Amino acid sequence: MANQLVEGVTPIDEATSRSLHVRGVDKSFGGVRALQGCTFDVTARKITALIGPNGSGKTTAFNCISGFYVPDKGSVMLGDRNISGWTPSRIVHQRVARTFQITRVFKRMSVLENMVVPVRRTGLKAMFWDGIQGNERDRAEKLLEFVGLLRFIDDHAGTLSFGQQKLLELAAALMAEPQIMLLDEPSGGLNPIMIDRLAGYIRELNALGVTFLIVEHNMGFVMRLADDVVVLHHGSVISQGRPAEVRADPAVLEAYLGN
Amino acid sequence: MLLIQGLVLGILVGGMYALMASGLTLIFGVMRLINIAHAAVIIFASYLSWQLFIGLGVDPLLSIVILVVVFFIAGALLQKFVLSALIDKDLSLALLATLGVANVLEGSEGAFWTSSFHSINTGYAARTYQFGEIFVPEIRIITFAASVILLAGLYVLLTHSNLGRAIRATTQNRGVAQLVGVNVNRITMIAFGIGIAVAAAAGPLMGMYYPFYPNSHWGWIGKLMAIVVLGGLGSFRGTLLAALILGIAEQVAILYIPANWAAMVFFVFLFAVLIVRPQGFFGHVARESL
Amino acid sequence: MVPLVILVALPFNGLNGFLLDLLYFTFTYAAMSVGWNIIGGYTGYISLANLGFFGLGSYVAGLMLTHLGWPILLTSPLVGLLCALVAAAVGWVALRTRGPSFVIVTLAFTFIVQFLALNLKDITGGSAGLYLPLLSLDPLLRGDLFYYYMLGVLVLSIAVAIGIRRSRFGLGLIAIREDEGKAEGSGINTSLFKIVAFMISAWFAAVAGAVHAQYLNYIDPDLAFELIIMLNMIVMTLLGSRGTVWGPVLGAFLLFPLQSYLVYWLPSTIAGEVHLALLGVVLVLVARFMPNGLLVTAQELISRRPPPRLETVAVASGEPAQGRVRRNG
Repeated sequence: MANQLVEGVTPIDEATSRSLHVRGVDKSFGGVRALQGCTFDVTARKITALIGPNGSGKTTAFNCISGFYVPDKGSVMLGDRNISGWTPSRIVHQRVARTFQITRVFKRMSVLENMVVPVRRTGLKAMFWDGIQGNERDRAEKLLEFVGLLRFIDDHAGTLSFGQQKLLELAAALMAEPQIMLLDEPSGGLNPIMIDRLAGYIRELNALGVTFLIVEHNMGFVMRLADDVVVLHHGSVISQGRPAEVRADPAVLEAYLGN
Repeated sequence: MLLIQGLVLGILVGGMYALMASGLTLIFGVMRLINIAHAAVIIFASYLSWQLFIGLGVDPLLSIVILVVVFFIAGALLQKFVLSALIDKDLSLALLATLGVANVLEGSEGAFWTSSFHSINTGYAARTYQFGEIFVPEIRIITFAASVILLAGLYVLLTHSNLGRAIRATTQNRGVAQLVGVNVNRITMIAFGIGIAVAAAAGPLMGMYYPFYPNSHWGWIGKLMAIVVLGGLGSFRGTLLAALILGIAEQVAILYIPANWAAMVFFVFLFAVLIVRPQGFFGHVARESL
Repeated sequence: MVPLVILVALPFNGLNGFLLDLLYFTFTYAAMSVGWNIIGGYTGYISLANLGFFGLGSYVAGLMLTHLGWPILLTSPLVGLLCALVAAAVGWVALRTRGPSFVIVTLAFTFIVQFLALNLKDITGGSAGLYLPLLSLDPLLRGDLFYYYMLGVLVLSIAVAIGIRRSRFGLGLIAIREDEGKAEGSGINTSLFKIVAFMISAWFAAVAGAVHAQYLNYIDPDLAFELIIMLNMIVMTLLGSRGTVWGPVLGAFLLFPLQSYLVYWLPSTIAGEVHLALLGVVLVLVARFMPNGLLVTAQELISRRPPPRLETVAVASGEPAQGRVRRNG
């Protein structure tokens, strides 16, 4: 199996890859129970899709995994480590990176600066002494070339089009060399050509060993891409399995049609 | 018995604290802005009330009516011409603007009335009632009663009027409020005006009991902020509850330690809340909200 | 570089005492403003605590002098460090969450420190103040000494600001200001970064306070916590341009001499009050009409392009990052 080396991304070897396990997570806001006993697995090196009708709790689950929310009950395991309640930055240091449902880039910074913000290393020296190291600029350039944004490298990120900003967000997340990528509705607002490109990028990265958890509404996009699909409804998992199985599951059909 | 004294006085003074802090909470609710000038407005209103009392013989309780109108207009104008533009751009600029206003008020007070202590001494309300072993100064009862009336009025406004509904909608979710047809800019202006007006109403009440001077707003704003944080930023009932609790805590503390140290109680609570439960009683959780 | 050489050489040309004094104050304000800018400008968190650290620095240094005999001009860095540690504690309370709790805590902090200075009479002398031993120095040299000392502190503050701007730390602070959630999600330990930025700003405020205590040979709770100091720090930074290295310096060099001059024309009985009110008005006007500050607005006008990029990290090739839009291929 020949893995194409995407320049700027080092392949993830088997030993480093870890799975994500969400176990019995509850999360409520005021009186609203967003997640109830939510349990599913994200297998290492696979592409897992998280789908469900509006309000089913997908983004809440995402936020619990990435540290933006603390689960009321239950746990999130990264490999055999319990990461629930960790701060988001600490989770990023475990090489778990995420994008946001509403694309967030630093609009007033240049594209290059956006690329350099994500931190791989902790430690005082890394924090205070390093500017942009030589090879970091190289990696940034290669990643930008990967997503086709190299020519904008010195422009304000705010001047990019919506789709370009989404790609920038993805490329910047890759700078932290994640072994797990959490993508929140990556195809939202993109035209079909861009969506195909995006699917291509995800496949290439997955071939290098990057694990994916993707929240999506676009069924076509997700069913083509995913190895595993998890269906959320009213904050609980109602189905998990291969795309074909899930698509045929009557519980899933009812959840979508019933709405 | 001593404790009951502290409790009673605490409730009486807590009512006034609640009035003073309620405007701050209202403003934070609609604008997500901490109005650093809030206590300065209260003090400025006290000065004006004093001036009306000394110069024209206007009873401070009566002056509340005049001050509420004047300050509502002034507040709305400030919001419209200065703050609204800043809120959209950068909240920290609006914060700095309120800091500026606080200093303008303080400086003006010193320039017009000198920096000596002032207080509004009406002839009446000098008695102290005795209930069993509990001593209650009449002035405390009066200011409490006035505060309760004003707070009740504010409460009714917020819960039973269309304006109040619009304000609450804007506080909860500005974007959605706009979608359902609320003119959020106008509502924000009005709400800010109301917040300032309520602060002004508290001025004469405060001035009848506490001596004031230009710099005293710094002491008060610290207390008001502690109340608002303890109650939960933006929560009206949180403010009421926190004001009562802190009022009681302070009055109980005064029984055992000197009065100026008793004020430190506010800050003890402030730091404790921020460490243990940053959202206060009824506030929203402080971590990332996407 | 050139202005620095001029400033260093100035006293040798028989600069009169009044101007030496004026510049001493200007350097002090500039250094404090540069320090404030690190938390207020780069990170975007408005701190009202720097006045508290100024006063705390004055008292700590003064007490070390009167009780231990340690000369302030030698201990000031240590005093700064102690106050920075206090800032770490305060920051830990206020900076773990986002939002307005920081302003509130810093305001409370300054109030509390002043309150303690006023009421712990046995330690601080209360409102009577604390008299410090005079420096055994020729009065003519005295002016020079304070001039050079604060010039040194100012140069240090500028060096620190430049260092921060070029480093990953500075990039992180700006990211926090621009979008804190995104910064956290990018792996930046936002709590730590904010606390460190706060500590650095506290250090400069404390050092300035310590030195000023020796300058006056006297500390009291009113002078050490004079509001005009805090207001000036903020207005100077805002007017000069927040989030830039030289903005606060520009603001200080413009505003302080101007204020010193204007205050002469005010009736002496209410000069202080009118001064405060006017500065407040200036703050509101600058915030409303020129929030980007002079430096940035000037850059915009000169180059006539959309708002200039942030002054951030120098790219590896060593070119300064500002003002370049290059299109590759």
